[in-house]
Amino acid sequence: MLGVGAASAVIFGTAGYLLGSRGREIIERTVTQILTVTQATEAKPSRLVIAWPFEIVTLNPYRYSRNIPSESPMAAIFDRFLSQDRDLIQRPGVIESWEWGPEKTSLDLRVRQGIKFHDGTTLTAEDVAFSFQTMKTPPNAYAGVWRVISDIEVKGPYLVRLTLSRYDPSIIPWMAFLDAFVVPKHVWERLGPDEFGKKPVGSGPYKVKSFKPGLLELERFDDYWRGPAPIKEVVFKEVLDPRSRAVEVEAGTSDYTLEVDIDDFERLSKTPGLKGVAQPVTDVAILMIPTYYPETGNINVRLAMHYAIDKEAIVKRILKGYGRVVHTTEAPGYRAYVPDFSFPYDPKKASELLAAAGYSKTNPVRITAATFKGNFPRDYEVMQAIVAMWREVGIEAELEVITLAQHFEMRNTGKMKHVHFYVWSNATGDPINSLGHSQWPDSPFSTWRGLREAKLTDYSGLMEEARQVINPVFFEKDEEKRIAAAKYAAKWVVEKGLVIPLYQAVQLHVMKSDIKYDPWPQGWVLPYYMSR
Amino acid sequence: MPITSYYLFKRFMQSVIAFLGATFISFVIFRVLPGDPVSLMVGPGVTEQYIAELRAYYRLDQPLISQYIYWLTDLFTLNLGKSFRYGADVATLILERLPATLELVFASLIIASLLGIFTGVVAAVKRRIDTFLQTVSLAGLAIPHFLWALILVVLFAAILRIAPASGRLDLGLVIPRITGFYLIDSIITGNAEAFFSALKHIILPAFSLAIGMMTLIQRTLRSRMIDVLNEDYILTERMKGHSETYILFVRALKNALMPVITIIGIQFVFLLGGSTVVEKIFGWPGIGNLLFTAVQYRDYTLIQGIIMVYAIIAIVVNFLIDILYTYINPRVEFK
Repeated sequence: MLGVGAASAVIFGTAGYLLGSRGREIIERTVTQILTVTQATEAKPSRLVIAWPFEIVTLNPYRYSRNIPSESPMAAIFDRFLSQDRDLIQRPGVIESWEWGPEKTSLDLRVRQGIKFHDGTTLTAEDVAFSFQTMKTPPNAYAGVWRVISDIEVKGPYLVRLTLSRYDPSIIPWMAFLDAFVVPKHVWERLGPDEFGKKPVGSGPYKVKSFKPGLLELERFDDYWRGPAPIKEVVFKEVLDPRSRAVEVEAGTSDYTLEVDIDDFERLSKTPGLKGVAQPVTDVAILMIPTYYPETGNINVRLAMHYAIDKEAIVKRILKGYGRVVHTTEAPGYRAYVPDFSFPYDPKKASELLAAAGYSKTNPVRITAATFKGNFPRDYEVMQAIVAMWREVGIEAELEVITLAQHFEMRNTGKMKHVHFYVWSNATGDPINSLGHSQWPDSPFSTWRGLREAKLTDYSGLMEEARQVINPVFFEKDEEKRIAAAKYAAKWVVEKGLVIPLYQAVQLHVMKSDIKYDPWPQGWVLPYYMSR
Repeated sequence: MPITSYYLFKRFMQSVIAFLGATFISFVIFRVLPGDPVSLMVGPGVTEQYIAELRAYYRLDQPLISQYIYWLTDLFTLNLGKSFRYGADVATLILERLPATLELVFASLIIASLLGIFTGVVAAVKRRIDTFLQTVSLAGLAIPHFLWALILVVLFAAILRIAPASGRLDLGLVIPRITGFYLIDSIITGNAEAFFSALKHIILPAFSLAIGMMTLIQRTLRSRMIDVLNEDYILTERMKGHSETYILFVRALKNALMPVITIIGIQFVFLLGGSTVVEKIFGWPGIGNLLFTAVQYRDYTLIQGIIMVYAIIAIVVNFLIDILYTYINPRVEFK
């Protein structure tokens, strides 16, 4: 930015000389002001500017569903009920400890003492109870999740009892996930949800300094219960275009960014003064296969589709190594990850299976594959490569680009194409939120939902078996048995060709060299853990 | 009396019909297009019963025509509803961001008009420069807004580093909101720092948006000017001994401007549309960005609110252009 100042000085200096002494005086004053402005935008170690890829429209933490990284500004302002470590394990947070009641249908939550909100008031059980109650009230985005809580009682200044309508093993992971933030009851009630979304008060490491369209400025909360953050001021600056975000860090007007294109990432990583970090995150790219078509109802065709995909080549050539091949829906670090299971690339086997189903290269099986274009890194290119690999064994796929909204509509109404590319996020690491909701016939998010809604024929004949295999993931009370069942189910759905897991996504971060920060596998950007 | 009261009434009624037509068509199109907003609103773990309840809450279970009537009824009480995605009041969301978009569009309009008119006149009278300007303007027309935006951001922000890549104002500067237009508000409050900062930030996005319109104005004006300069009254003016500058910029330009004004009127609406992509590239916090997200998430109420604003702007701008005609050429009458 000093370039602007220097250029302005030359232009205004020359003009001032030509205008005489009064003119020079005016021009000098203006130049000084411009230089002050340009100097003000230079990097300050006490401030960190993040070129942010998502729109921040409201800071009401409950109101809208979002992907994991986009909740980072809220994670800076609010505390979650529980925290989560880098191994995806839930740890004490605002809730210091928790204890299941008999039959696991009640849960006693002990609230940590000594936590202050940004307005100086103390966080108590009343705030925790109020937050649960608000989250479970429609139309808040995840009200459906929290509905399993049938009663919330404040049993003491720092004790809350939740009564559940049924045992739900995902309730603890959810307390460290998505919207599970604690808000101050008195502020929320005074402002209402809309105003609170503009002037939020939390108990997190940063408080809001200013919030206007496109810009969120935060300042350190010195009384934060875990200790004050190393960086004094943090700015989330909306820059939605990936190329512009790359320019932001390259020009030095932002200190940090993420989700840039692979080519920009590689170039910027080699730029002096910058560094790049590639972090595998809890997003798994999969191919969803509905079985309401005769072609995909045939197990030989489904398995042939899987055997024909050279995932290593996709990761190496399309994603330039920024991805990790997976063989189930559960990535490394997830509780139901199965390290000793793999599904090989075997085009010969694929051809044999297709032959058994009556297809060949000269008589290919014809299908349509739906994909996104630009929603996920190189999504379209990945599917183009897969289509080319399929062609080699006798699967002729027509590629159709759809939007995220269309994908959901098709999934819910039984109008999916033969195959859908999708990236499934699960920062909880719990199998309910990956294997469970993507494969369980009773989930409103699985491919089975459309089949049920539209009363279509299940040509695989596997729906009931899938239900039985996956049921324990949702209902088994013994955690060890539940995870063992989930591991079995994770392998089973792949062996039956109901899903084709492709790769674990990698999030690309670019930052100034002096910033010390290890990105989180959940995909959050947490300024509290940054220093310079 | 170039504009009669009957004309005003007729024009008002046409505007009402245009408004209802535009809003109804957009209302239907976005709801008929595949894409389920409720599925995009909820996370895993919800029940189908809850999804149905949510659908009822947003009246998505009602017939399309009933939904539109509800929307119109709410509009009479100035209630544009709540955003599906953000839950916030749609009118507030739009009003917060509209000044940023309008400031960008007006800045583009000013740049395009001034440069387009100036180069158009020059091209009409200086034949050597004409060839050069025609070639340059061809590039201006051929390259779309978003590509200009990328070229400018890479060249001036990343390589030369003489302009900011994104945002409206340098960090740390605050302008009290009066009109929401940073350039105007900084002048009103006498804040030179903020004014120069806002100017520095608006140049690249405004210029990338203006280039297409500028070349269109230049080419239209050039051909019209060549015609006008060959008319008898210009010869008469020359015989009267008026200076060439007066003849060009006062006598000839006034008559040649009519088609340009039409272009400005039409292009204003296109600039609004084009600003969606330019705002995204330059991180400009206007309603274009908001519309982009709203369409992505099928946020019907927000989409509808923004399209309504666009429709109103288009109607008002076209009406103003009509009035402008009568001032530039009093022979034009609207009855």
